Amino acid sequence: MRPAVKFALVLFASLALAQSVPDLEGVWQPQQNNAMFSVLPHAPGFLLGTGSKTGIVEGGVLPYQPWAAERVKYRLDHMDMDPTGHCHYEGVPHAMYFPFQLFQTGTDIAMVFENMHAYRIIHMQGQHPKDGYQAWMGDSRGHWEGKTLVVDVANNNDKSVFDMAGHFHTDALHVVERFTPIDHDNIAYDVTLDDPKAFTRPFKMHFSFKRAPKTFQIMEAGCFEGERDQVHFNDTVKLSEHYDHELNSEAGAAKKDGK
Amino acid sequence: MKLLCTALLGLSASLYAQTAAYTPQRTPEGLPDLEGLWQPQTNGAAYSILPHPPGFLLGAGSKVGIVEGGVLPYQPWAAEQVKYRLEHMETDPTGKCHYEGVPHAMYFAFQIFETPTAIAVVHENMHAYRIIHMQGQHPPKEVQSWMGDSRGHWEGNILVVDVTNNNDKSVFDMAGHFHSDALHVVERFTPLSRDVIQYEATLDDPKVFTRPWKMKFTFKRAAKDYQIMESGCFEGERDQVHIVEGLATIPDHYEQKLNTEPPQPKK
Repeated sequence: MRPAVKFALVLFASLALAQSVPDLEGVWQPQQNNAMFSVLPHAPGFLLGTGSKTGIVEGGVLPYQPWAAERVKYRLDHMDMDPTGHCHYEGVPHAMYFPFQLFQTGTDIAMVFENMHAYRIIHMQGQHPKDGYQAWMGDSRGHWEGKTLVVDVANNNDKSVFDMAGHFHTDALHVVERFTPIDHDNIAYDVTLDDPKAFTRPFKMHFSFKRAPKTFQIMEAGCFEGERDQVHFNDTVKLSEHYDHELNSEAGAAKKDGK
Repeated sequence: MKLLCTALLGLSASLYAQTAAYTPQRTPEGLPDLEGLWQPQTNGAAYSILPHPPGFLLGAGSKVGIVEGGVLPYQPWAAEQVKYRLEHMETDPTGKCHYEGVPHAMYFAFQIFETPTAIAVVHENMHAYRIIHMQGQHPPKEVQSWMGDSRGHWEGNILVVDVTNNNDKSVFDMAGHFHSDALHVVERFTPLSRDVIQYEATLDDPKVFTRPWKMKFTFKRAAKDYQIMESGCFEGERDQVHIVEGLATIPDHYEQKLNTEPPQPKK
């Protein structure tokens, strides 16, 4: 082949590749191992859920600072502090444990969820709003890196939580999500979470989304009532005792050596 | 001369046809592009869809309202119910953070996202959204929701949406104008220019009204720096009734034509 023709072909191919972003539109079902109950490994029956041997956190450890680890146990024994039953939006990544429909345009991506009738808009342009604006779902700014949608989530409030197992965060939470299509029906979801006020280091979560069957459709699930009975579901047991988890194996190990 | 006139007439007619029918650009999938952020021009419809003075329910006034003819053709029992509701603000669902339904939600700014099989309309107000399915059928009528079920199709460049499966809890505004679960809405979104969409809705509810009726207003494209922010409404607001308690009797403050047409004689 003539060098000029080869060059033209390569140029055309690379231009075509550069201009085509993946089409992530459709309805997606998260394969999340019951993360809404706990993001860490947990037994079946914990908070009425079906259990997970691995959870969705890399390494199975949440690196909470010692004061925060105590706080988690407190929250687990005080379910009235959990915002879920009050119909508050779950925030990111918690909202991502539930099915959603994705809509893509050149400047924005919308994800609409049946659960809590929530939605989020991923702005593919512009900057995060200034400090002082905090939201349950945060503010999402995305861009493409090849075939991966990378989303930076800031402006989170300190009220949303990671699950129903007391795993909280502060308003310093910063989340970076990576949506990588594996094939037509599967997207890999990798999240890096950073909250220097509550954790000793950043940590990661991973699960995937599977394309929903053609008959699946998002219906209305309005949650308005400000549910107040959730605390009674677990009245008889002290949850933190039923739930053995490594909140921070690093601090735990240091404590053993130190004392 | 006659030939010249005919030619000129034909030319101007075809020019008129071209300018009257605006053709929007296409999305990558080849659909008329209605995407973006839109700001409804409703003349205080959130307060009342009929003409009303400024200050009514603390809102801006409107000389014309958004209802064609300025009349809501309520059946007599329903017209009484409207007056009752106006005096009992605790029956109004708005302060309780419930989704407004269609067309009420359309009085508030929204962003449109289009795909060939579905269109998402997301609102800042009440953090509400609806999905307009461009395929499939309405669910069985027992499946009722605040926002109803929307099925759309294109008629040329016009988006036509059929909304059924409405519950009887959503309302048209804060002025007591209610409907039953028989409400059926047909919306037409007609792009008039790059920055304006005309919105027409035909509403039909034989349990409550004597005939179908129409509302009409426009959407204007929002400024480039405008963006939908989070507006969560969770608290189950209970004080709304107190906000308007100071006003003497609301119906006295508000003269409205609920039904100027006498009922048609039965045959």
